[in-house]
Amino acid sequence: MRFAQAITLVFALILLMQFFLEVPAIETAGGHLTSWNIVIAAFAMGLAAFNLIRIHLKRVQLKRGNWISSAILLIVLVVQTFVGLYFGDNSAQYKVFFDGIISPLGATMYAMLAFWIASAAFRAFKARTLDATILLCVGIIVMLGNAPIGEIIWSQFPALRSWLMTVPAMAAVRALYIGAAIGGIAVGVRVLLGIERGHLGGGE
Amino acid sequence: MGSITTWMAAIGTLGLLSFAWKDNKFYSICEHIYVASGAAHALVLGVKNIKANAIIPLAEGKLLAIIPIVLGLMFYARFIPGQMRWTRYPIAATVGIGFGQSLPRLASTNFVSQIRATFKVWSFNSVLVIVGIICVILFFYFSASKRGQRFLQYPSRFGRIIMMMAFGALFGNTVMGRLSLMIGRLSFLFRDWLGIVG
Repeated sequence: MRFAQAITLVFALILLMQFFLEVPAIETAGGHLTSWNIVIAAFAMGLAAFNLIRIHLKRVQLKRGNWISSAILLIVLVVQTFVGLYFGDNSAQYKVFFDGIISPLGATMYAMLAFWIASAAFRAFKARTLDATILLCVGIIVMLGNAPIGEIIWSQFPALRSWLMTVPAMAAVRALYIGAAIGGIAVGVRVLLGIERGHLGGGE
Repeated sequence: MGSITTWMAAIGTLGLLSFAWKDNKFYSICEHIYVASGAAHALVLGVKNIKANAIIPLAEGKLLAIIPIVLGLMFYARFIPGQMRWTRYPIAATVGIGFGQSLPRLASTNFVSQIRATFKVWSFNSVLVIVGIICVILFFYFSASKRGQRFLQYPSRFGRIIMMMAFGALFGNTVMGRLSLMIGRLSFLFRDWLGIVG
């Protein structure tokens, strides 16, 4: 545990010093650490893929639940990985997977959220309190300000939307950013000092 | 009626949209294909990154490149019974590097820059932004009780109203963003795939 804590502290300190000091040795070490992180993250991604394969392989072997979907998942995973590694991720063959699956299906997944957000809003945004009423009204004004129909109903909707985005929304978002920065720095210092050890599997 | 890519995208899009009706096999298959494709893409990029940042430098005689490979392989120790503890080290390294990289940027972009940008222009709206920021921060001030202290209670209440306005605005923007994506998907289906709309 102590050695792992020391790794966290030393690696973080090198990168912190790289930000503040212009020492060639520290800059070289910082550059190494940055590329090491990319490699470690790639191995972690491999672990995730390995887990995915393990779970779905088991499901196919036992013919449990939705095993046909799992079998298709495994086939696509193996074929696309092979094409990507053999032909390269910039090849025309690999582009078929990217343009035919990842990009359109990703957009559709996000587009589907429009339905769920709308249905959740219908249930949640009942103007029972002043806060809920403000949230509801501002939400509607911003939506109308974004859509062409809003301008037809009242020409000032886009201007009102713009004011809401640049004044109250910006004030709240900036305050939340500042709060999050203070929180992030506090957590960072706690991790560096070894007070926070949750990521290493230990309590405080 | 375009290429194989258009057909793949169209069938996948229809499959995912079918969930709006109810959970079904077609949706499940398309969802699994999407997950598989995403995982495969991450895997391909991962191998490319390992090659560029570890294998090639190692082949060039830069022996330090062995360290991230060893650290990365330690992740897989979780599959060896009783050797789970080795996974601590790559996590410790990632957390250390992550904090080292993000702390200065967090302090400069999320803290100093935000305060600087707030006091840059002086107008009625900018004064409102400043008051809004102070009030929202006061809303999250929990070190003292706000009960009976009007100089804390009223600004905190105003901060809450500002936050509600912001959440409403962000919600409206999110819904419109998602709807524009939906229009994009429908226009793909009707124009690019079926060719019905010009």
